[in-house]
Amino acid sequence: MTTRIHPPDPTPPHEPDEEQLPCGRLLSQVWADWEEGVTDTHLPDCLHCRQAVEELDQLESAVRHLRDDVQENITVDAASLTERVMDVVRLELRPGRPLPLGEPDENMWIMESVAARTLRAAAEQVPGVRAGSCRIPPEAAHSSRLTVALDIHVPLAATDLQYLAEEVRHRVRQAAEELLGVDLVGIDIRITDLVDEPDTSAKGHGR
Amino acid sequence: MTQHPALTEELTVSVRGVPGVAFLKPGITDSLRSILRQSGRNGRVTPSPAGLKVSRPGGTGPWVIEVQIVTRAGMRVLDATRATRSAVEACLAARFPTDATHITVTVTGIV
Repeated sequence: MTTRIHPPDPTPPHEPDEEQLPCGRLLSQVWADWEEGVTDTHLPDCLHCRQAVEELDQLESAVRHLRDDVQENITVDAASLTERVMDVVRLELRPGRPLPLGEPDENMWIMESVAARTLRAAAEQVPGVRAGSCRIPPEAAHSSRLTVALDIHVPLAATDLQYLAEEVRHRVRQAAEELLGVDLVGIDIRITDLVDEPDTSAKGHGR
Repeated sequence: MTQHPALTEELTVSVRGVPGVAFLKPGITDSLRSILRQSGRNGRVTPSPAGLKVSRPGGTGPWVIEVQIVTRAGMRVLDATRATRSAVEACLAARFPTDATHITVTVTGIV
Protein backbone atom coordinates (compact mmCIF):
# COMPACT_ATOMS: atom_id res chain seq x y z
CA MET A 1 0.00 0.00 0.00
CA THR A 2 1.38 3.39 -0.85
CA THR A 3 -1.15 5.83 0.47
CA ARG A 4 -2.10 6.70 3.97
CA ILE A 5 -5.67 6.20 4.85
CA HIS A 6 -6.08 8.88 7.46
CA PRO A 7 -3.36 11.50 7.65
CA PRO A 8 -3.75 14.07 10.37
CA ASP A 9 -5.06 17.32 8.95
CA PRO A 10 -2.00 19.58 8.82
CA THR A 11 -4.06 22.73 8.91
CA PRO A 12 -6.98 22.21 11.25
CA PRO A 13 -8.97 25.29 12.17
CA HIS A 14 -7.58 24.77 15.62
CA GLU A 15 -5.89 21.84 17.28
CA PRO A 16 -8.47 19.31 18.41
CA ASP A 17 -6.65 19.25 21.72
CA GLU A 18 -7.16 22.91 22.21
CA GLU A 19 -9.41 23.64 25.08
CA GLN A 20 -12.48 25.65 24.37
CA LEU A 21 -13.73 27.52 27.39
CA PRO A 22 -17.42 27.28 28.31
CA CYS A 23 -17.86 30.81 27.00
CA GLY A 24 -16.83 29.61 23.53
CA ARG A 25 -13.37 31.16 23.35
CA LEU A 26 -10.23 29.12 22.77
CA LEU A 27 -7.93 29.00 25.77
CA SER A 28 -4.90 29.62 23.56
CA GLN A 29 -6.48 32.75 22.14
CA VAL A 30 -7.35 34.06 25.59
CA TRP A 31 -3.75 33.53 26.68
CA ALA A 32 -2.34 35.11 23.53
CA ASP A 33 -4.59 38.16 23.90
CA TRP A 34 -3.56 38.54 27.51
CA GLU A 35 0.16 38.33 26.70
CA GLU A 36 -0.20 40.82 23.87
CA GLY A 37 -2.28 43.22 25.91
CA VAL A 38 -5.36 42.87 23.73
CA THR A 39 -8.43 43.77 25.73
CA ASP A 40 -12.12 43.78 25.00
CA THR A 41 -15.31 44.01 26.98
CA HIS A 42 -15.68 40.24 27.26
CA LEU A 43 -12.73 39.41 29.49
CA PRO A 44 -13.59 41.46 32.58
CA ASP A 45 -17.10 40.02 32.66
CA CYS A 46 -16.28 36.39 31.86
CA LEU A 47 -15.50 34.12 34.80
CA HIS A 48 -13.97 31.45 32.56
CA CYS A 49 -11.62 33.81 30.75
CA ARG A 50 -10.54 35.46 33.99
CA GLN A 51 -9.77 32.08 35.55
CA ALA A 52 -7.75 31.09 32.49
CA VAL A 53 -5.70 34.28 32.70
CA GLU A 54 -5.13 33.77 36.41
CA GLU A 55 -3.80 30.28 35.75
CA LEU A 56 -1.40 31.61 33.14
CA ASP A 57 -0.22 34.19 35.68
CA GLN A 58 0.32 31.41 38.19
CA LEU A 59 2.41 29.48 35.68
CA GLU A 60 4.54 32.52 34.90
CA SER A 61 4.98 33.25 38.59
CA ALA A 62 6.05 29.66 39.20
CA VAL A 63 8.62 29.84 36.41
CA ARG A 64 9.95 33.17 37.68
CA HIS A 65 10.15 31.83 41.20
CA LEU A 66 11.97 28.73 40.04
CA ARG A 67 14.36 30.86 38.03
CA ASP A 68 15.06 33.08 41.03
CA ASP A 69 15.64 30.03 43.21
CA VAL A 70 18.07 28.62 40.71
CA GLN A 71 19.94 31.90 40.53
CA GLU A 72 20.25 32.05 44.27
CA ASN A 73 21.14 28.48 45.05
CA ILE A 74 22.94 26.72 42.24
CA THR A 75 24.70 27.61 39.05
CA VAL A 76 22.31 26.31 36.44
CA ASP A 77 21.56 28.13 33.22
CA ALA A 78 18.26 29.74 34.24
CA ALA A 79 17.77 31.26 30.81
CA SER A 80 17.98 27.80 29.33
CA LEU A 81 15.39 26.51 31.80
CA THR A 82 12.99 29.29 30.91
CA GLU A 83 13.65 28.66 27.24
CA ARG A 84 12.85 24.99 27.62
CA VAL A 85 9.65 25.72 29.49
CA MET A 86 8.59 28.13 26.77
CA ASP A 87 9.51 25.53 24.15
CA VAL A 88 7.02 23.19 25.76
CA VAL A 89 4.37 25.88 25.77
CA ARG A 90 5.02 26.81 22.14
CA LEU A 91 4.94 23.20 21.02
CA GLU A 92 1.71 22.72 22.89
CA LEU A 93 0.00 25.59 21.18
CA ARG A 94 1.69 25.33 17.79
CA PRO A 95 2.81 21.75 17.29
CA GLY A 96 3.63 22.13 13.60
CA ARG A 97 3.24 19.58 10.85
CA PRO A 98 3.19 15.80 11.19
CA LEU A 99 5.66 13.77 9.12
CA PRO A 100 5.05 10.15 8.20
CA LEU A 101 6.80 7.36 10.10
CA GLY A 102 7.04 3.73 9.01
CA GLU A 103 4.90 2.22 6.30
CA PRO A 104 2.00 4.23 4.90
CA ASP A 105 -0.67 1.85 6.19
CA GLU A 106 0.71 2.00 9.72
CA ASN A 107 -0.63 5.53 10.18
CA MET A 108 2.23 6.69 12.38
CA TRP A 109 3.59 10.22 12.52
CA ILE A 110 6.24 12.40 14.11
CA MET A 111 5.93 16.15 14.48
CA GLU A 112 8.35 18.02 12.24
CA SER A 113 9.69 20.10 15.13
CA VAL A 114 10.60 16.95 17.05
CA ALA A 115 12.44 15.36 14.13
CA ALA A 116 14.16 18.65 13.29
CA ARG A 117 15.46 19.00 16.83
CA THR A 118 17.11 15.58 16.63
CA LEU A 119 18.67 16.33 13.24
CA ARG A 120 19.95 19.74 14.35
CA ALA A 121 21.61 18.17 17.36
CA ALA A 122 23.25 15.60 15.07
CA ALA A 123 24.60 18.33 12.79
CA GLU A 124 26.06 20.17 15.77
CA GLN A 125 28.13 17.13 16.67
CA VAL A 126 30.50 18.22 13.92
CA PRO A 127 32.99 20.53 15.67
CA GLY A 128 32.31 24.22 15.12
CA VAL A 129 29.01 23.71 13.32
CA ARG A 130 25.84 25.40 14.48
CA ALA A 131 22.53 24.39 13.01
CA GLY A 132 19.88 26.89 12.03
CA SER A 133 16.67 26.37 10.14
CA CYS A 134 15.76 22.73 9.55
CA ARG A 135 12.76 21.95 7.40
CA ILE A 136 11.57 18.50 6.40
CA PRO A 137 8.90 18.74 3.75
CA PRO A 138 7.68 15.42 2.33
CA GLU A 139 8.32 15.05 -1.40
CA ALA A 140 4.61 14.88 -2.07
CA ALA A 141 1.43 14.88 -0.08
CA HIS A 142 1.17 11.81 2.14
CA SER A 143 4.56 10.59 0.94
CA SER A 144 7.01 8.88 3.25
CA ARG A 145 9.90 10.16 1.18
CA LEU A 146 11.47 12.97 3.16
CA THR A 147 14.09 15.53 2.26
CA VAL A 148 15.83 17.69 4.84
CA ALA A 149 16.78 21.30 4.17
CA LEU A 150 19.28 22.34 6.83
CA ASP A 151 21.04 25.68 7.27
CA ILE A 152 24.33 25.72 9.15
CA HIS A 153 26.98 28.14 10.35
CA VAL A 154 30.55 26.89 10.05
CA PRO A 155 33.91 28.16 11.35
CA LEU A 156 35.64 30.79 9.24
CA ALA A 157 38.81 28.75 9.64
CA ALA A 158 37.33 25.70 7.93
CA THR A 159 39.44 24.95 4.88
CA ASP A 160 37.23 22.46 3.10
CA LEU A 161 33.58 23.44 3.19
CA GLN A 162 32.56 20.57 0.93
CA TYR A 163 34.10 18.08 3.35
CA LEU A 164 32.45 19.81 6.30
CA ALA A 165 29.06 19.69 4.62
CA GLU A 166 29.55 15.99 3.88
CA GLU A 167 30.37 15.39 7.53
CA VAL A 168 27.17 17.15 8.56
CA ARG A 169 25.19 15.22 5.97
CA HIS A 170 26.61 11.95 7.30
CA ARG A 171 25.68 12.81 10.90
CA VAL A 172 22.19 13.87 9.93
CA ARG A 173 21.55 10.73 7.89
CA GLN A 174 22.89 8.54 10.69
CA ALA A 175 20.65 10.23 13.26
CA ALA A 176 17.62 9.96 11.00
CA GLU A 177 18.14 6.24 10.55
CA GLU A 178 19.38 5.24 14.00
CA LEU A 179 17.50 7.62 16.30
CA LEU A 180 14.30 8.29 14.38
CA GLY A 181 13.96 5.36 11.97
CA VAL A 182 13.40 7.64 9.00
CA ASP A 183 14.93 7.13 5.55
CA LEU A 184 15.86 10.44 4.00
CA VAL A 185 15.94 10.66 0.23
CA GLY A 186 17.84 13.92 0.31
CA ILE A 187 19.77 16.15 2.70
CA ASP A 188 20.29 19.66 1.42
CA ILE A 189 22.94 21.50 3.41
CA ARG A 190 23.18 25.25 3.03
CA ILE A 191 26.05 27.12 4.65
CA THR A 192 24.54 30.44 5.62
CA ASP A 193 27.42 31.99 7.55
CA LEU A 194 31.08 31.71 8.39
CA VAL A 195 31.78 32.55 12.01
CA ASP A 196 35.06 33.67 13.52
CA GLU A 197 35.04 31.26 16.40
CA PRO A 198 32.92 28.29 17.20
CA ASP A 199 30.19 29.54 19.48
CA THR A 200 29.87 26.81 22.05
CA SER A 201 27.51 28.76 24.29
CA ALA A 202 24.43 27.83 22.32
CA LYS A 203 25.64 24.44 21.16
CA GLY A 204 23.62 21.47 22.14
CA HIS A 205 20.29 23.22 22.24
CA GLY A 206 19.32 21.17 19.27
CA ARG A 207 16.53 23.48 18.37
CA MET B 1 -13.76 14.20 28.45
CA THR B 2 -13.78 10.67 27.11
CA GLN B 3 -17.00 8.77 26.54
CA HIS B 4 -15.27 5.43 26.99
CA PRO B 5 -13.53 5.72 30.36
CA ALA B 6 -12.85 2.03 30.92
CA LEU B 7 -11.28 1.50 27.51
CA THR B 8 -9.40 4.78 27.79
CA GLU B 9 -7.94 3.76 31.12
CA GLU B 10 -6.97 0.34 29.80
CA LEU B 11 -5.28 1.83 26.74
CA THR B 12 -3.53 4.44 28.88
CA VAL B 13 -2.01 1.76 31.09
CA SER B 14 -1.08 -0.30 28.05
CA VAL B 15 0.65 2.55 26.21
CA ARG B 16 2.47 3.74 29.31
CA GLY B 17 3.92 0.25 29.65
CA VAL B 18 5.43 0.19 26.19
CA PRO B 19 9.25 0.18 26.25
CA GLY B 20 10.52 3.42 24.79
CA VAL B 21 7.44 5.43 25.67
CA ALA B 22 8.20 8.07 28.27
CA PHE B 23 4.63 9.25 28.67
CA LEU B 24 1.48 10.19 26.85
CA LYS B 25 1.49 13.75 25.63
CA PRO B 26 0.37 15.88 28.54
CA GLY B 27 -1.75 18.85 27.56
CA ILE B 28 -0.52 21.94 29.29
CA THR B 29 -4.07 22.81 30.15
CA ASP B 30 -4.31 19.43 31.84
CA SER B 31 -1.11 20.13 33.71
CA LEU B 32 -2.50 23.40 34.94
CA ARG B 33 -5.89 22.10 35.84
CA SER B 34 -5.30 18.51 36.84
CA ILE B 35 -5.70 19.29 40.50
CA LEU B 36 -9.14 20.70 39.84
CA ARG B 37 -10.36 17.59 38.09
CA GLN B 38 -11.97 15.22 40.49
CA SER B 39 -13.49 12.01 39.28
CA GLY B 40 -16.14 12.00 41.95
CA ARG B 41 -15.11 8.45 42.80
CA ASN B 42 -13.43 8.34 46.19
CA GLY B 43 -12.11 11.82 45.56
CA ARG B 44 -9.47 10.39 43.25
CA VAL B 45 -7.97 12.73 40.70
CA THR B 46 -8.45 11.25 37.25
CA PRO B 47 -5.84 12.36 34.77
CA SER B 48 -7.32 12.97 31.37
CA PRO B 49 -4.31 12.57 29.11
CA ALA B 50 -4.35 14.84 26.11
CA GLY B 51 -2.35 12.14 24.36
CA LEU B 52 -5.13 9.59 24.08
CA LYS B 53 -8.48 9.97 22.39
CA VAL B 54 -10.99 7.19 22.04
CA SER B 55 -14.11 7.54 19.97
CA ARG B 56 -16.53 5.47 17.97
CA PRO B 57 -18.44 7.67 15.55
CA GLY B 58 -22.03 6.63 15.33
CA GLY B 59 -21.60 4.05 18.05
CA THR B 60 -21.26 1.21 15.57
CA GLY B 61 -18.41 2.19 13.27
CA PRO B 62 -14.74 1.41 13.78
CA TRP B 63 -13.05 2.40 16.99
CA VAL B 64 -10.98 5.51 16.34
CA ILE B 65 -7.95 5.68 18.60
CA GLU B 66 -5.58 8.64 18.45
CA VAL B 67 -2.43 8.30 20.51
CA GLN B 68 0.18 11.03 21.04
CA ILE B 69 3.34 9.95 22.80
CA VAL B 70 6.66 11.31 24.02
CA THR B 71 9.39 8.72 23.51
CA ARG B 72 12.62 8.07 25.35
CA ALA B 73 15.83 9.14 23.61
CA GLY B 74 17.43 5.75 24.21
CA MET B 75 15.14 3.93 21.81
CA ARG B 76 14.59 4.43 18.10
CA VAL B 77 11.45 6.48 17.63
CA LEU B 78 10.08 4.23 14.91
CA ASP B 79 10.38 1.14 17.12
CA ALA B 80 8.69 2.80 20.10
CA THR B 81 5.92 4.08 17.87
CA ARG B 82 5.38 0.71 16.27
CA ALA B 83 5.32 -0.98 19.68
CA THR B 84 2.74 1.53 20.81
CA ARG B 85 0.55 0.76 17.85
CA SER B 86 0.89 -2.96 18.51
CA ALA B 87 -0.03 -2.49 22.17
CA VAL B 88 -3.17 -0.59 21.23
CA GLU B 89 -4.08 -3.20 18.62
CA ALA B 90 -3.62 -6.00 21.15
CA CYS B 91 -5.73 -4.21 23.74
CA LEU B 92 -8.57 -3.64 21.30
CA ALA B 93 -8.37 -7.15 19.88
CA ALA B 94 -8.74 -8.59 23.37
CA ARG B 95 -11.76 -6.44 24.22
CA PHE B 96 -13.48 -6.20 20.85
CA PRO B 97 -12.14 -9.01 18.67
CA THR B 98 -14.62 -8.47 15.86
CA ASP B 99 -14.68 -4.66 15.77
CA ALA B 100 -12.86 -2.64 13.18
CA THR B 101 -10.28 -0.16 14.44
CA HIS B 102 -8.53 2.86 13.13
CA ILE B 103 -5.38 3.73 15.06
CA THR B 104 -3.16 6.79 14.69
CA VAL B 105 0.06 7.19 16.66
CA THR B 106 1.91 10.51 16.65
CA VAL B 107 5.22 11.32 18.35
CA THR B 108 5.10 14.79 19.86
CA GLY B 109 8.38 14.76 21.75
CA ILE B 110 11.56 12.93 22.69
CA VAL B 111 13.06 13.12 26.18
